[in-house]
Amino acid sequence: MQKEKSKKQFADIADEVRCPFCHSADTRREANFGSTLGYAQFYCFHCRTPFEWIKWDEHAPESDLPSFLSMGK
Amino acid sequence: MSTQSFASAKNLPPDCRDAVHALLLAIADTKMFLGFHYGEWTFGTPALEAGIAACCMSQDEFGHLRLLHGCLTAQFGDSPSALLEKRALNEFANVACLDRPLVNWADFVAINLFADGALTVILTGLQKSAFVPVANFVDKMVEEEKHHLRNAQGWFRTLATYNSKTKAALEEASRWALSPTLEWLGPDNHAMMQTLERYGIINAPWETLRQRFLDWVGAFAHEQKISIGLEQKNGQWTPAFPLDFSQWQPSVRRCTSTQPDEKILYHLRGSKNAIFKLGEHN
Repeated sequence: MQKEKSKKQFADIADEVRCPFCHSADTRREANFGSTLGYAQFYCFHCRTPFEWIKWDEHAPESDLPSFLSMGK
Repeated sequence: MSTQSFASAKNLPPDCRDAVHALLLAIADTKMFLGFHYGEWTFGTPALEAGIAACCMSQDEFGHLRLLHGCLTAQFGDSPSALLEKRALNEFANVACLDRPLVNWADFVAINLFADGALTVILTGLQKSAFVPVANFVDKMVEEEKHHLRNAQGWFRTLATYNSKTKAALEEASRWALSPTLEWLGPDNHAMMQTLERYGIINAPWETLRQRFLDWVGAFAHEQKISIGLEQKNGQWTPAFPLDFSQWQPSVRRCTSTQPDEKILYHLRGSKNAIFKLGEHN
């Protein structure tokens, strides 16, 4: 049951991944694993760049991180 | 601050070009040594999960290094051998606490928090940079650095509260790492950093970026009841120890004649494996 839930969450998130270079949402998941188990591989159709995406990133609490990380955006 | 952007290094004014080159080289050098230490400690960590994290962070740092060296080669004409093999030891511009092998796990946590943290503050300063080649990749680096800082904060908390021995070791390591990190960040009012801000290469004055680092580590260490040599004055964290920048050299971001350990460079250059390079005639 827990596995099923995790799988669904990953699929949901992975459909909305934005390119870290051009921020386009026109991306496709190429592989469920990248250089490590924690990464999935994506391709951006807008800037035509492959990139690795850190799984579960959206669920990690931001409040724990230094505030300067969001100041340059 | 300028609103123009520079598609390549050729478009940069000469003074700005030199400043960008020096900053990118200093970031690349620091990432190279961080990557080395993280990798070295993959099999020396006190927990299996910490070893996996160290390995991942090492891969991240060398991945970032590849991007930075690629940029230095494509934009500034630096050859790969000039970036690593043909430089004298006293030409490396890494944070000086990375010059030597780490003594214990507390040292690892300290470089993870201080050296990697300072580097990340500067990377956030390069987001939306007017220098387009850097602006194109820096967001990705910051995304990955978030996890490095999460790791550093987690282990810092653990060592701060586990027992009196781990707390003392953490305090000693923090004081050892903080001073060279501040030396690497350099003085607030140096012409090189003012040039970077004037042309929009960095998105905030250097003193603002430096203060963000101090306020973050100052408040965080204070929360964990770890004394790292910072004190709070008028709401801002400042060093409680003297920092003399009169001899500071912008090319290596050091005040003194420190330099990396030759043995570490020997490993990074792959010297001991030179005879195994396949396809090369020795």
